[in-house]
Amino acid sequence: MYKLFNGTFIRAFEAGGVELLTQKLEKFFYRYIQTLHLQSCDLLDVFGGISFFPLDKMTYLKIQSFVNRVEESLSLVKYTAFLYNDQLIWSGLEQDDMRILYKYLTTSLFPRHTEPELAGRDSPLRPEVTGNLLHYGRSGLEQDDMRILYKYLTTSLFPRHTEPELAGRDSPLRPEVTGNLLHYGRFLTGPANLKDPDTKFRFPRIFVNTDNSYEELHLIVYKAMSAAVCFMINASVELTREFCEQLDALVGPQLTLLASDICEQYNINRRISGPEKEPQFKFIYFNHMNLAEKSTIHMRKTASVCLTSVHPDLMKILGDINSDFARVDADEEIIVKAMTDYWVVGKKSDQRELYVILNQKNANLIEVNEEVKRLCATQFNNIFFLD
Amino acid sequence: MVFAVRSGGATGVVVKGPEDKNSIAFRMDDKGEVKCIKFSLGNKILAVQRTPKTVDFINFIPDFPHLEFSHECKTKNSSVLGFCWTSWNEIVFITDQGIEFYQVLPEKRTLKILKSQSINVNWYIYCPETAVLVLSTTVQGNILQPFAFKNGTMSKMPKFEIELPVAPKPAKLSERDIAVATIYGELYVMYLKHHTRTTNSSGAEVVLYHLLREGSCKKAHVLKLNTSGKFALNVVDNLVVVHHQSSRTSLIFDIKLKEPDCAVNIHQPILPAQSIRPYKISVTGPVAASNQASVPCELYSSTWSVFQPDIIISASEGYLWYLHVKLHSTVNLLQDKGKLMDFLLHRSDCKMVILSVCSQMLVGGEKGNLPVVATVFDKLNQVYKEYLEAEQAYTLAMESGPSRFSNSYKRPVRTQAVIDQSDMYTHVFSAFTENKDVSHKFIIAVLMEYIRSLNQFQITVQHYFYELVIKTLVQHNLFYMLHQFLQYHVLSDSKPLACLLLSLESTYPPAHQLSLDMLKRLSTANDEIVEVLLSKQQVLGALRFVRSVGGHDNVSARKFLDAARQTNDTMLFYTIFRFFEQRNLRLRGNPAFNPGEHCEEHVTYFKEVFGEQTLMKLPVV
Repeated sequence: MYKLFNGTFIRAFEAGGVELLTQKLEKFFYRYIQTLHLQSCDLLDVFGGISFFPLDKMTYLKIQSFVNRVEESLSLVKYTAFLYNDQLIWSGLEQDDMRILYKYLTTSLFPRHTEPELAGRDSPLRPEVTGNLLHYGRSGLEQDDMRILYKYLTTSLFPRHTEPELAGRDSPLRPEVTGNLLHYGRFLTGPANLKDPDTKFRFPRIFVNTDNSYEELHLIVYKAMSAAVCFMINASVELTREFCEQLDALVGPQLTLLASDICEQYNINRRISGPEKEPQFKFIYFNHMNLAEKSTIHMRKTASVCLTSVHPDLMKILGDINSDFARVDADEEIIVKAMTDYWVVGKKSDQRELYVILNQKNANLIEVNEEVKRLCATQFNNIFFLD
Repeated sequence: MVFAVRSGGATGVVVKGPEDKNSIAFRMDDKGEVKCIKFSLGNKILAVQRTPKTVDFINFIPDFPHLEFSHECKTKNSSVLGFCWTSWNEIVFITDQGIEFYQVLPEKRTLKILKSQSINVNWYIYCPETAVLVLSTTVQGNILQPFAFKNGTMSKMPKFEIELPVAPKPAKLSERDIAVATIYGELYVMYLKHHTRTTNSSGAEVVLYHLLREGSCKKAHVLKLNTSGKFALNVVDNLVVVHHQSSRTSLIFDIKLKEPDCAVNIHQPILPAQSIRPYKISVTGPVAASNQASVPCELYSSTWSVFQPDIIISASEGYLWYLHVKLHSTVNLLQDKGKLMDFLLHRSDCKMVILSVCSQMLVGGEKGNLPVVATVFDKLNQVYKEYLEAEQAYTLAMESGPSRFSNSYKRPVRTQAVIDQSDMYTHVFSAFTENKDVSHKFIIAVLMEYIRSLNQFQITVQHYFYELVIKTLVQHNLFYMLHQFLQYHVLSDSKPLACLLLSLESTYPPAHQLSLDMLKRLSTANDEIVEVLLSKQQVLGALRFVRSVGGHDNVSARKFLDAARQTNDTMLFYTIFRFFEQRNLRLRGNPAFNPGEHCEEHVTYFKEVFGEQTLMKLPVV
């Protein structure tokens, strides 16, 4: 994390000797360490993985197409990352850099911006629309026009769209609405309000590829509904109001549309795969190869509290198994019977680790083994898992 | 076909077609001035009109007497306006009082009336392609009565009225302003509506009336010429070409292209008005001819006669030309690539032009931006998909019952507009991805755009495109990108792809895992998985995998034992050896290996290491 915002120790040392380095370190870690909540850390923090958003091929290709188009028309953009619902979909950055950036986004930046939205967390529409006319100043409409539009939106358009909204996170927007400059995009870093003449166009700077090309970049995070895009631009370029406006006008409507597409697709997929059969298995999956993690144990990760649905003692067992795995290189499997009738199974195959918590009274070892096999067959049938 | 009649035929008649080999020369007696002379289909019978009431016939069928015979129209006091052959031996006379449809009996040298219809006729137009005759009736001539001929029958089609301009004076519909042609397989009557000063119209226009076999004719399209003067019409490759004499330019219209800012059926010219010569969207005839003769041909000459569909005859120079459209030249005239594709996809000879537009759009100086690229791909794949679907429906129909459908189902014709993946690969992408001047970012974006488009139309992407993507990514060390594509199954699973990934393992280790996952998903590649695991010396893992898929009774014991020996892990070897001994016992009742399994070497080794007594004994009965 230090490296992401400050570059390597060596660079700081070379630039200003030990003093500068100590200064930088102090400045950074003084605040950073306070944000770590070690008491609530668990296996997921050990992995430091990336949660990928499950998506069908077509929608994924649309996102690809969107990213490529934006990168083409805004040639300043060097790298792009696309996230939905705090889960990664696309990263133009290399894996190691993305891992840190992802951590920053999900544990620091996004939570900070969801706080004000919290009331309507599941509907990003609400804070922007309900009653809040000020935001529309951005759409460049005159007050009178806005009054009429507002009436239409609140009495006709939105009521019609509340139903899909209840099912999913975002309300699918009609294209004609997005065609009218109206979109839900906003900057999470940099200018809070483009129309404000005093807005500063300053973005956080990050360092990537520190091993070879050592690049310093501006980090622009732009969000529309649940879709967030990170644009990374060479730090030597001065970012102007014009650029931000251009980006807002280009990305805003497209991203809004894309976000509702993703949401729609996601809901369809969920409907196909049937209702959430999650309670049956509690597991954590992690793949060292692509840093993919998946957990049915964690309800929601926020900066401060980590809500898990299992007892902390069980989480500790998971940690123990993990450190056992770390010691040996070969594939192995560990089955532990915990005090409270729980079985904990740890499996390692190639670069993948899977931890399952089963709660079956009086189950024996064979049954537990069978149960885990079943889980693998249903949840992980598309990857190669040795049993 | 052009007839040159000298001295009423006495000194010879020369008939020339567009190809020299078709020319015919003969003599006939001079019996007066020839008004009209025509061969029946296949040059079987010659009909000549010399008087207002009779038509003479000459047999050109071999073995038939080459004698003239004559026939007079049957309606009293009428005069023959002309005649048209509708087949090799069927002819229709058009008189000022009606039409008479005859069958010519060359052996008897007589004509048999098949049908007649009395109607006042001002003039007529015949379309040989469809065998449809259009008659102009009433005083103003603007009520048109079409007739269709087929196999000796004549059917009357619903008549219709051409709306004439009201002012300045009650005009008469002139024969010169009407043409009949087939466009996109449909018959149209084209009416050249001249510009009138009193109306506020911006210029002359061509009105197309859609002529249906059944049901009434309706005004279907209006082509805006935006100018006035003398015009002539041609139809080439389903395009309506309007020649404008005073400006010496031609306008091209495509009735399938809709103008977004116009009412549905009003068309503006697709291309700016182009003169035939300096631009190449042109009549090739004059250009080619002038090259040979080195004499520039006069274009848009007043001596030009235009015939449907695509013939221009220059009376002064004595040439007959066919009009062609040079697609290559249109490419630079239409800036909007999407519209250009719409235009090209409807042309008959478009494949190479489209492919070159694609190449140009990707490399040339004007780097088409991605949305344009996407639009073009979508348009191509739309047509591609329609063809695939038609093909599939046809195959399905054939399989379900060839007899039932054989008549109603025709094999779909693959037009040039069907541009498949191999076309794109060979002519566009293989060169494009090799191009060093294009950034790899753009190359990948374009490839992804193509794959996206194919997916959007649910077309299975060919394996070589994935290979191309992988190759490009690997060349630029973009392994993480590749990894993400695979993760979201953008590159569909296949054995060749999995093997390709395996080969990348040395440069990018995670490829191994990706490859194994893919093989697993294929579920037909279990043998390959075993090989991969064995090559990684994961002998136990391989064996467990085989057992989990239920193939452990059939695998070669020697293969596993070989692999186990190579690990130099004696315990592993022991385990594997024991497993197969147990298998032998279970399958054959004897733990020993069969000679056919070629395991003698391993048995010996086992004895050496663990001693003979460790070998599994035959169970005591």
